[in-house]
Amino acid sequence: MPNSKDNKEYHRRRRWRNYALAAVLFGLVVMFFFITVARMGDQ
Amino acid sequence: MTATHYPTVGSGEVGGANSAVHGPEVELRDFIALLKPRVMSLVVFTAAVGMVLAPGALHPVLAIVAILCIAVGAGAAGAINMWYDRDIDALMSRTKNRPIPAGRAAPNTALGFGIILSVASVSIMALAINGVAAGMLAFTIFFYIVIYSMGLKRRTPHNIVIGGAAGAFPPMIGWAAVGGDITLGSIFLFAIIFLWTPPHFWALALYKRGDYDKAGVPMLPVVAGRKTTAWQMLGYTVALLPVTLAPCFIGLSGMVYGAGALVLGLLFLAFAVSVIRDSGPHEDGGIGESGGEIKERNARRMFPFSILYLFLIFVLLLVDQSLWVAF
Repeated sequence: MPNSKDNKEYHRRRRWRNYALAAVLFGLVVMFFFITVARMGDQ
Repeated sequence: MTATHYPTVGSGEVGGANSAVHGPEVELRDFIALLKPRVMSLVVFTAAVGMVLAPGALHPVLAIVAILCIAVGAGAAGAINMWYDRDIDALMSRTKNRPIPAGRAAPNTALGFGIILSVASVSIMALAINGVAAGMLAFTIFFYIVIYSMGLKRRTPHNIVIGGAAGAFPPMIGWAAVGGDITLGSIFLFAIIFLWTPPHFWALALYKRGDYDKAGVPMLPVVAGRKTTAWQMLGYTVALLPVTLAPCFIGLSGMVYGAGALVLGLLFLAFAVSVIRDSGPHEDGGIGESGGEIKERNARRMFPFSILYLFLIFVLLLVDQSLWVAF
């Protein structure tokens, strides 16, 4: 049976991974915005 | 090859009781380790120099995106390489603490991570920069994983001679990101890294040959012995010298770079000669028995110098270019 300490640790790691994924997705959105602006400026 | 036992997802061997249910929760630092950040830093630097030297200009935002794509693509190839080489990584002292053999990441997590990043980096390169750079990035990832890791590494002592091409492509990709083509200048940047790779890797393989032997990787020092390896290192170092001077003769750089490259090349040659002179009968005793560590004093000195050498060659190319622009 998983004990409460393991559960806490598991959820802590999960939470940080979700934050990291959110940051990556946000970074991609920002990057695509600036790519679009730069590419439109070229034309 | 020795059969090795690895922690698997859901085995409960990694990450406490919850791992038995959910698989190991990979820490952020292990995801970063899967990307081989030290290799990535040299890749990024050489690619950036390729972009600076290429004729033409790229919007700063697009230049950052191109560098990011090259870095992520290189890291992705590293992660897939770690997935494929997890059996031999577990046997070598240099690699046994990597996330997969250490049980901190499941092999399939590394593979999935690598594939997603490969597809993302090549796609963004194609959409944001150009098809030539994206195609070259895709080919580099393919070359590193399929040609080098899966094809050559465990089969031939010349694995890193041909496989070295994978590490030599980044400045060409950087160049292609700006110019959209492959020209003589970018081919010489490729050739510099291509010829530098064998003496660089064989210096490491000389003092780690016990490791490679244990893992069954036929590196040249294991298969042909240290004397042949040392002479081949010298051969490649001699061939490298005129190639590093070539940028001066094709108008890619000036005399500041030329003088610096000559001095560095002669120093690199001196190191290669010192490795040959190390091969007295007292040190030609074959494979080290514990942990793969062998004396090889001069090879140990040559390995870090080789990294500094390549870094300085590309710094000199940058400095020379800046002087041209300034005056």
